[in-house]
Amino acid sequence: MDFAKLLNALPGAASQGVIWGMMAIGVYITYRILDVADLTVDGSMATGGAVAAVLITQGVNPWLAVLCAFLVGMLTGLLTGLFHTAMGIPAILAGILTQLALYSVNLRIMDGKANMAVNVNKYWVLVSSRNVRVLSLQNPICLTLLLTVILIALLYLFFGTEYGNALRATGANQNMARAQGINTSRAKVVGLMLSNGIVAFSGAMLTQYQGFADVQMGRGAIVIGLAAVIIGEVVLGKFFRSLWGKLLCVSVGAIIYYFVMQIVLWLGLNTNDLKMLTALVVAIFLAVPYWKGLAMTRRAGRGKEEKHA
Amino acid sequence: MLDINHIAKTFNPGTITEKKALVDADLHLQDGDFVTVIGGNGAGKSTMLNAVAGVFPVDRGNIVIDGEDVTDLSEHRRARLLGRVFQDPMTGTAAAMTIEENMALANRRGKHRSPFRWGITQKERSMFRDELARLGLGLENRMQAKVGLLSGGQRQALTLLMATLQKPQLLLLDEHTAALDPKTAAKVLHLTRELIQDHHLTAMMVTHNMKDALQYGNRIIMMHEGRVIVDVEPEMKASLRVENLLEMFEHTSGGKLDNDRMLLS
Amino acid sequence: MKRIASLLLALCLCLSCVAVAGAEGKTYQVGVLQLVQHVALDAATQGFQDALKEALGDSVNIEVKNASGEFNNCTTIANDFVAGNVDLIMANATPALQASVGATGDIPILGTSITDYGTALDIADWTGTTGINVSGTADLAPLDGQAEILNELFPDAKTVGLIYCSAEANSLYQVRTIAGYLNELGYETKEYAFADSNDVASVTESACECDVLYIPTDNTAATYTETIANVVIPAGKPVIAGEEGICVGCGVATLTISYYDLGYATGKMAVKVLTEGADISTMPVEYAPQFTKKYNAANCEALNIQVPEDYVAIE
Repeated sequence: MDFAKLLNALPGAASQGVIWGMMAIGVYITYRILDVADLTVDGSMATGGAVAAVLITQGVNPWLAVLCAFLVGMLTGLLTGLFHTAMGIPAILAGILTQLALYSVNLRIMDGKANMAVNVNKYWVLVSSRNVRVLSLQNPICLTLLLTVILIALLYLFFGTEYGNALRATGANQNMARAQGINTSRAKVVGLMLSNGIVAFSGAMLTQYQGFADVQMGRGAIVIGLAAVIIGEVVLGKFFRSLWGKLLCVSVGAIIYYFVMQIVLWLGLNTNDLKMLTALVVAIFLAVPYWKGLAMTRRAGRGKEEKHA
Repeated sequence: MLDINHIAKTFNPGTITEKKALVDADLHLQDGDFVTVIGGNGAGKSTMLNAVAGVFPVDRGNIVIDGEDVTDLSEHRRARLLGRVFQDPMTGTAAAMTIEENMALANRRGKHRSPFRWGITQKERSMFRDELARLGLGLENRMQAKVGLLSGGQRQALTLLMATLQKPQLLLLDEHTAALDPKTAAKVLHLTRELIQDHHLTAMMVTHNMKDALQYGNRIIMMHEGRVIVDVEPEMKASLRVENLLEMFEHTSGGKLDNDRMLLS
Repeated sequence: MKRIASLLLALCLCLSCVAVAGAEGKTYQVGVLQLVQHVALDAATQGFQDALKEALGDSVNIEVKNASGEFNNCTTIANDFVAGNVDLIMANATPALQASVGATGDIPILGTSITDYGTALDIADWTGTTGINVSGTADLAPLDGQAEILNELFPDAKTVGLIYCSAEANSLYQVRTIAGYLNELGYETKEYAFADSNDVASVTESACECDVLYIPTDNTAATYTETIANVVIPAGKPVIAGEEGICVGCGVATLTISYYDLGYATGKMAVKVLTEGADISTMPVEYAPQFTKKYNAANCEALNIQVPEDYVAIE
C-alpha cells in the first residue's frame, strides 16, 4: 500500500467534496428544512453545468456564467414547485417530471450536443482539477471553501429573517404555518427555487473543475447529496445545534464521502464494484442513527425494568 | 362578528366513503360572544370550525367575518382574522423551532414577511418574555428551547398565547384540552377564559365536556347531523344544567345523545 | 481554514515527492480510465493492454479502473491516477478523456474510442495533433464507406431513418455527417433520437416508416440491440450499423473497425511515449488501420437479403 499516494490524492477528493458539498447544501434545504424529497437535482445539476459550459466557451466572464447558472437553476425549481403546488402533483413525482424534462432542456442549452468540453487552456475558469496540488490561491480548494463559507453565511442570515422563518415553519409544520398566515405553497416554491439554484451553481463549478459538461453529469446526484447530508449528521451532528453548524456538517459530509471513495479506489478494489460500495457506504451511514436509537430504547427499557423490580 | 350562512360540505362525494359532514349549518355570533359547541360523534363540530378557518372550501352557503365575506379566501389569507388552537398539541406549534421563533411567527400573522427583516427583534424578545411569564410555567426562561421538548399542556398554553399575540377577530378552539390530563386541562381552560376576557375576544370552543360547555362562555350550541339544532342564548345559559341539555337534545333530534367521549358530569 | 488546507497540501506534496524518489527501478505505471462496461470499450482496453504487455512485459504495471458510467467517478479516478503519479493515462471514451485532461496538464494522456478529438477537447482548428499532453486513436467509422454499402445493398430504397441516442455527443456528429453522404446519393434522411432505454422501442417503431435504417457507433444503442431487433426484424426493415456490435445484435451489414485493433494501436503509441520519449503533443491522432465489410447472416436470411461476395459473415 502506497500511503503517500493516498495522501497525494486527498486534495483532489477534498475539492471535489467541497463542490459537491455546495450541492448537498441545496439538497439539505429541501430534504431537511422543507421536508420535501426533491429529485429535480439530478437534472438541475446538469443544467447548471450546461449553462456554464455554453457561456464560458462563448467567452463570458465565469463569475457571470455561474450567476446565470444559479438563476436558471432557480427556474428549474420553479417548474417543480408549480408542478407540485399549482397542479397538485406529489413532490417526488414533480421532481422526477422536471428531471425528465430537463434532459431535453439541457440538450437544447448545449445546442443538441450531449457533451461539451471546457478547455482549461483556452478559457478563463474559476476552478480546475488541474490545480489541486498547486500551493497558491489558484488551488480550487481555496475558492470553493471560500464560496462555501459565503454560501453558509448567506443561508444562515436568510433563514434568520421573517421569510426564512416562514420557510422553516412550512417544513416543520404545515398546518401551523398556514394557521399563522403563511402561504405554504409559495414557501415551498421559493424553497425549491433556492435549493435548485444552489445545485445548479454547484454544477457550474463542477463543469469548470472537471473540464466538461454532459447531459448525464447529474446522474445519481441526489444520492450523493443525501449521503453527504446524512454522513455529516452522523459524524458531526451532535457537535452543532445551529443552522450554520448543520450546513457546515453537510459540506464536511460531502468531503468525507469523497475521501471514502478515494480510499476505496486506493485500496485497488475492482471498480466494477464501485456502485455496490457506494450503496453500502450510504446504507451504513443511514443505519447508524437507527441502531443508536434502538440501543438507546433498549437501555432505557432495561432501566425501567430494574426500577420496577 | 361571525355569520355562518347555511353552509354545507360533503366529503368524497359520489364514493363509498361519502360523508355529509355539514348539511345546513347556520350560526351568527355577536362581538364578544364566547360560544361553546357540543354534539355527538360526527355531528360536524370540528368540520364547522375548519370551514370557518378555510381548511377546505364549502359546497354551499357563505361565511362572513367582521363584515368581510371570506368564503373564497384561502386558509392562509383568512389567518389574519383568526386565532386557532387545535386538539392535537403537535398541530399548533412547530416542534423543531424554538419557543421564541414560534412566537415570532405568530406575531407576524397576517402581515407581510420580508426576507430583509430579522425574524425576531430584541423588542419582541422582551415582549415575549413578559407574555410567557403570565403563563406561570417558567417558559420565559426557556425561550431558546425547542418546542418539541415541551409537554402537551405547555404546548397548548403556548399555542393559546400565540393565537392571541395579534388580536384575532375570532378565536377558534377545537377541543383544545381533549388530549390533556384533567388538571392540566383545567389550567388551560382557565387561561383560555382569562385571555378571552383580557383581549375582549369573540370565540368558539368545541368541547366534549358538558360541564366545561356550561361553565365557560356566554352561549352554547348543540350540533347534530351537520346542523345546529340547539342554540342557547346568553340570558338562558346561566341557569342551564346538564339534564336540561340532554332533554333538549332528545327533544329536537328524536334520539339519544351518542358520543363515546362525551363527559356528562 | 485556508491555512490548514495549505498545510495539508504541503504535507501531501512532500510525501508524494518522497514516494516518487523511492520508486526509481523503471517499472512504468499506466492507468486506464474506462467510462463504462461495454463490449467495444472492453475490447479497446484489452487491445491496449496486450500491446503494452507484448512490448514491455513485466516492466509495465497497468491499472484498469472503470467509472461504471458515472461521469463523476471519472474525475475521482483521474485524481487517483494523478495522485499516484502514473507515467501515462489511457482514457477510454470521451468523458474519461475530458476528466483526465481536466486533472493534469503534464502526464501524457492517450485517448481511444474517441470519435472526434476536436469536439471532445474543444479545439477549434483541428489539424490532427492536439498541441497539449494528449494524443490517441479515433474510432470514427468510415461514414462515407457506410453510406456506400447502404447504397450497394439497397439501391432502390428511398428513405433512410437514422436512429441514435441524444445523450451521446458522438452519435449526433455521425448522424449529421452520414446524412450528408446519403443525401448526395439521393436518399431522403430522417433523424430518430431516443433519450434512454425506455423509449428505444417506441422510437425505433416510428423509424420503421423508412425503407432502411442506420444506427451509428452509439454506446446506448449498442446496449439495447435486442430491443431494436425485436422491432425491426418483424417489421422487415434492414439496419445498417456503424459498428460490429450493433450489427451482431440487430443489423444486416456494416463497414467496421475493430476496437481491439484500435486499442492495440493506442498501446503501440503508449510504448513510443514511454520508452522512446516521443513528444505526445506532436503525435498525430491515429485512425483505424483497416475497414472490413461484414454482414449478419441470420438477419440477412430472415429479411431475404443477398450480399455480394466480398462481405465477411460475422462469427
